[in-house]
Amino acid sequence: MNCDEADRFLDAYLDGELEPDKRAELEQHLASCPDCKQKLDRLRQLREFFTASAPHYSAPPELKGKVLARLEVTRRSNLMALVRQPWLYAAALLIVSLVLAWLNFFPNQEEQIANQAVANYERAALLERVCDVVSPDPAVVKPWFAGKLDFSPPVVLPGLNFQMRGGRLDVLNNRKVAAVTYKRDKDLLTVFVWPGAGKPIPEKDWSISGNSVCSWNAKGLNFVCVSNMDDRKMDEVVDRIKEAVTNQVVSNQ
Amino acid sequence: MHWTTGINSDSPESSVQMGPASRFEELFLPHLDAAYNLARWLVSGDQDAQDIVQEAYVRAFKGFAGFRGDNPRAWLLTIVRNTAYTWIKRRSTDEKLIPFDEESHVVPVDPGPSELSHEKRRELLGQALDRLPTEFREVLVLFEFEGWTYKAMADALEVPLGTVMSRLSRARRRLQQELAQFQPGEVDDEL
Repeated sequence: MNCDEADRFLDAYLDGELEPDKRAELEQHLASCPDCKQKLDRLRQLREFFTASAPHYSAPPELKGKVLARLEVTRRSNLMALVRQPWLYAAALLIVSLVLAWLNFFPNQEEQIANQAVANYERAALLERVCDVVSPDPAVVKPWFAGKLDFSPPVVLPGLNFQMRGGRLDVLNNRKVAAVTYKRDKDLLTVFVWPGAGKPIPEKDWSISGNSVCSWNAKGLNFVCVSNMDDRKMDEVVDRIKEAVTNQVVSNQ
Repeated sequence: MHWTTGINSDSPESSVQMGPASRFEELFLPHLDAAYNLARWLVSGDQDAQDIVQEAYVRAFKGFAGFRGDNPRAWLLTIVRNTAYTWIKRRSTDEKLIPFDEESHVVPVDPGPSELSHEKRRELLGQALDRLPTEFREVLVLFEFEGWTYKAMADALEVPLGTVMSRLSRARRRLQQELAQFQPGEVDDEL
């Protein structure tokens, strides 16, 4: 390496940025060249003087506030720009429409169950095949279910001049359920029961093709009640059934 | 568009207690001094430097969604640097700056007294720096104060590594030259 080459690499050498092979060459040259060695020393002194004496500015105290104010303005105008986008409203409208359409085409699960319960209720009434076991006595109906279901449905008497006609097996939401039927003159009432394990049915009322339907969950069981009575009469009976279920389950424990 | 950080309802005056939403401020405000220092080195005037820093923070904020790096300081400083250059370019077309001529730009001065106070030498260094081209001051401040590598500078400045090396080298030669003129007797001993 000659002096011209060495001169080119002095800065990188001093800055620790020279590749190892070039560094070795340069060091070899420096060892034998007092002129270049002196240049290196002067360069080092300049760096020391520079880092010690060159101005280092701190931000004036008011600058932080100014920056924050500008950022605030930018944030607001970004938001305003967004609010002014017409596509935003189009997108919102589209989403709302889709959600409404979805809800319309795919009713929630409990509503599907309620519809099925009504269909079962009406089919059983039409076929006059309301009961598999015919008896007004829970002591007969309850044991009948025992061998046919994986749970023990409560069989209760609501009073109010209702007479139990009996029980049958039915299918709701792809599972076997217990159905117990009561009659008072022309009022026909069927209570569907199945375990609510993990999927308790919410407490709701519907009016589906002229029938009153209500659902609830109690003591870990789901109940759906269908009847041709009006809401008011229905509520009265359902209250009695709920009460009787609570008492029966408690007395069983 | 980066608007998901939410609206910081704090007024600038109450900025000391910032909400957790202002992650941007959390990342970048600690580097305000460095941003200002760099801007001040590149454009020299306090007001201009402040304007550049504000502009750079707005640019950074708008580009924040694209920030993937782990070095917010370097990212911010690159933006400050680019903002300063935009500003200089605008200014130079406004004012029709005379193109910089390196060879004729060394200002001839009186030899002056041989013993100079420390204060005086700092002042002379400041003046010498003022006369350096912006590109030279830039590599000096980024290397000596910010500790950037040649590679980091080459990336941020979008120039080859060799250019960074020669700019830094020439910047130092120029400083040596200028300072030697002020104090010919001292350079060999102390500088």
